[in-house]
Amino acid sequence: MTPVARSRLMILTVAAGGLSFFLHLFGAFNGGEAWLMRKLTGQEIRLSDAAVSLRQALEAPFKVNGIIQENDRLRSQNASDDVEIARLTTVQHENDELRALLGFTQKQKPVPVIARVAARTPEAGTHTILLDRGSDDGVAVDRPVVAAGGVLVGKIFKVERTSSVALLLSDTRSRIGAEVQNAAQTQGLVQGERGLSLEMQLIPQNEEVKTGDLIVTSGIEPLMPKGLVIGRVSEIQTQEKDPFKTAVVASPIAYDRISVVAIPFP
Amino acid sequence: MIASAWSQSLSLDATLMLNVFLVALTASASTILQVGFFSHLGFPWSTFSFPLVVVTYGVMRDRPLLSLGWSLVAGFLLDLHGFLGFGAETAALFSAFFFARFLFRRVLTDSGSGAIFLLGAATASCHRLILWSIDAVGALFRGAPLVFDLSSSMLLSPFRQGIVNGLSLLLLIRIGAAFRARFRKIFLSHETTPIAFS
Repeated sequence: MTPVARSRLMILTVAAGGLSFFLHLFGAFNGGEAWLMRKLTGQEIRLSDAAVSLRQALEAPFKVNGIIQENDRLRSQNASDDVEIARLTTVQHENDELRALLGFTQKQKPVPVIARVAARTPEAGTHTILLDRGSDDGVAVDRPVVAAGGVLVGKIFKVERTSSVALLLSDTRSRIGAEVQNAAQTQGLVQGERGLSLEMQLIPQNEEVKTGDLIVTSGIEPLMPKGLVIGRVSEIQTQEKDPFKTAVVASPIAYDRISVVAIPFP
Repeated sequence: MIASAWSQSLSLDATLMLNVFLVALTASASTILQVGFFSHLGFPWSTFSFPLVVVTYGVMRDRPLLSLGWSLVAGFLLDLHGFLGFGAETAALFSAFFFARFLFRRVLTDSGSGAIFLLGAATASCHRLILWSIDAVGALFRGAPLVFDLSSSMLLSPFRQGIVNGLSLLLLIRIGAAFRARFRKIFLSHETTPIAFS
């Protein structure tokens, strides 16, 4: 190929990139992109399953001691969870009786959408997951994403017809209205910290929050139900002259190992 | 008139079309592998970037169309999965190509292992910095919170990606060179043993 032809092909390739950007901007690619994502998501799920299996197989020999310690910790936590479950069950019974007395109609809630994690963010510094369910299945922006029995792990921020992208709670851009399950139902804002942890901020200094308290969603946001578990307080950070204190929240879910999630409907 | 001159100079023959098809196929497959498989594994696999390594390889082997083709196809697919908006990855890969080309032609003076590693590492770091810049522009105009901060993990991420991609490029170059050297010896062996006629 002559140098002139090569230069012109280079220019054409760069121009094709610019053209694709403008065509996307004007929505000319929407149908094609949706079709492509639908085809890709299936393959990525298979690859994702293979990667998770491989990772588990490679990590298994190193996990024995950790598993024993984790087992002991979970046994003691299970005992305190039983107390909490008993208390919530009592509250639920009272709630049912009150509803029956006031004549509320019990609505059948739609079944949550179950979605598989097809891929993760290609860019460093962001923590999102690609799911294989989209608007055709009723998924919408700002819906919660839960894992492992109802623990909130993220929120939908982009939806296509057959796929959607969820922003994990641990991402720096994530903000969720939350409350502490204590007597005062202390309100605050749970924010992600660079994919590593969660922090509950804007907790007034005079509110009593202690290690081990359960953090749930406050329900002040549209489409975000109240009472979804976020995690437990692992550490309190206070500064003397600051009107607010911060609680570090530990989630029971390992965000980098999520493979199946549910998207509940309010 | 200009279009006919361009079409004549391009002369889209079968070989070129086959190369275009192969680039599209390999770039697509490797990108799907990267986001669907490697992203679930830990460091260094999750940091490895197929498109970056191939873009830099294309610069070193004087195959700019290979680099730009991979940038276009892989960038398009990464943009579909990405968070920074459509076009960010494509723009970053194109920019990384031109940066690598500048480094290779104007700065690096030899093709030793150190130079190859430096080229791969610098290109990967440049790619990361460009993505941060695009994110900063998005934060300015869209009001989204900035991802960049001064944490150690964020500051080290370009170096980690540079090391992984630099070593990957070095490995690819050395394997390619060994492969070509081996076949050269086989095909040219008759030249070193001249046949004598009686």
